[in-house]
Amino acid sequence: MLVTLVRTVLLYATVILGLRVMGKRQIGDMQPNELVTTILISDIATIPIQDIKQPVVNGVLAILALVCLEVTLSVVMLKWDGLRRVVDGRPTVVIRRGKPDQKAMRALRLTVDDLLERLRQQQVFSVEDVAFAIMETNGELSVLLKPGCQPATAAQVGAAAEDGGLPAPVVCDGKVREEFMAAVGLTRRQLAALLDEQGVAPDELFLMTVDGKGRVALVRREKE
Amino acid sequence: MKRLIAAGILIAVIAAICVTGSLVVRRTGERVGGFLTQALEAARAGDVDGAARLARQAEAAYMEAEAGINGFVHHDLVEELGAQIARLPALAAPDTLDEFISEAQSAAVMLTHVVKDESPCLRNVL
Repeated sequence: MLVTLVRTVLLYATVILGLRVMGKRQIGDMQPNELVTTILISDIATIPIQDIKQPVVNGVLAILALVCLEVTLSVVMLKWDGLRRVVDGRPTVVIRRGKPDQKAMRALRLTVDDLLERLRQQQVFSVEDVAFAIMETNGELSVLLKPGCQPATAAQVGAAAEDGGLPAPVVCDGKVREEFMAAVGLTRRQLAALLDEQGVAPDELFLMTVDGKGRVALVRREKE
Repeated sequence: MKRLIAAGILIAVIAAICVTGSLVVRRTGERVGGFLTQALEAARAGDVDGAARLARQAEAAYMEAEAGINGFVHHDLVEELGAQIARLPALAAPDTLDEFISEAQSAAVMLTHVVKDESPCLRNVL
């Protein structure tokens, strides 16, 4: 039993190391080669965990080899466009100016129901509203609405939109995060002044964000 | 670039593990196989004591190397081979010499297969 536990920890660490080396991607954003590698890694990792008679090195070796292949392939694809097209394919336009491209849909084996479902997931309920819909190489559908169907922007309606930048979480769960303070140009003294102004200490806060305009948002910590 | 360096390091680690595995298994095969071959020759020549001594040496050499090859060879195969080699000293007696020869030959063949399975040739890859 202890052997299984140790082997599991070892293989878990190997898989984590492998995925870290491969880089971070959301499952849905994976390119075909990344998806294949991830499935293979997860499958290979289970073999030495289940079969304790199998040398753990075999599993570790196979996982690391797959990771190396994946990293090497991605670097080569970065330099060589032709290989990228062969491995990942090309994005395909499936709707042009409100009309589904039936030939492209047949090539993708995409049914009308599939297309409509994907559009609905993008909050689009009429094909006619779509200027272009493109099936990306990772299987995602990108949709560009016709100009008349696009939501109006603040600039179009003449509303003043203030850009405060990205709010930085300067206090998280009672801890001051200095790495985020630098992002909004906040010094320790300024933070102390802001906290005094609000009448709270950092350890009383669950979250405190400050944006580039100095706007502060506070969430106090709930008592347990 | 960092990932490429990490992949390079991993390739070096993989290569080191592969070479170590091949060497460990091959050395064990040569050492234990050598004792088994000599034990077989002694048994065929009617030297029962010599066959028993060499079989014991083969068993000791295998026991010593077992931990090493366990890291690279399926444990069932390692155990099976170990059990077969461990039977040999008891069979090295005048009335069971034929059985000794048969078992020693079988163990030697199995050992050869274990070593050959680790060699990176096309036959093994396919």
